[in-house]
Amino acid sequence: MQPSNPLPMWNARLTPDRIDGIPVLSHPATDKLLANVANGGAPEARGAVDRAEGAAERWRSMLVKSAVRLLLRFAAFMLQEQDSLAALCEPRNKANRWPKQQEIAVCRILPAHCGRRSREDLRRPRASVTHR
Amino acid sequence: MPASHTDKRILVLRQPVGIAAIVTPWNFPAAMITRKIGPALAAGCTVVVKPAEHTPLTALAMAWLARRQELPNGVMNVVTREAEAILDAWLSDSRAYVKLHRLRSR
Repeated sequence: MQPSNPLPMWNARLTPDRIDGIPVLSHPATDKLLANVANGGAPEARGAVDRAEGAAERWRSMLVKSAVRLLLRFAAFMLQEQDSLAALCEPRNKANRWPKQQEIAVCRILPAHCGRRSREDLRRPRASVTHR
Repeated sequence: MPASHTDKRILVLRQPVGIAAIVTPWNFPAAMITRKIGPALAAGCTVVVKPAEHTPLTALAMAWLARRQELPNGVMNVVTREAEAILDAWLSDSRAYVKLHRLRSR
């Protein structure tokens, strides 16, 4: 798998002059490509702080009950998706290849990048994800 | 909090300090992030995360999961790749409180 588009950073936009300089993420053992990752630097780091600052007042002033509900839902969702998260960092298999489930996990968790699965697909049982 | 003396009363006020800038190592990429963003978000801070260069996908996936659970936009942010430039930017920014987690596995 060699994606052509870089994975976007979250809430940190790349400045136009850095879009071309996209490094690739490779497995340290096999040097195989899993995904391209956006090459963030100082401008993106400052932009992320700007966005965090913009959201801070709203988040700080949110009712504790509402924030707790959101965070508990977030935690429950991470637990629900823990197998997919684990598959993202699972080591290579015996055949020295990237396990298929890693590709599935990337496409499952980041469908906006991969464009293979819709949100409706994500709600379906994960019959296609296998675990060793 | 329980006090050691009955005539004393101890209160803990959890208040947001601002923006938590979080830098995490490559091992346990999900745990390293959650154990930092959890207390920060619960205290009312917003977070910017710089995951390790070798394991950025987990952080991106978690940010995506946060978005799906309707965490307000901008509360959790992820910046990938150039550690030195990103750290320099955050350390020189008075708005960000950097929480650096260094690798100490044995």
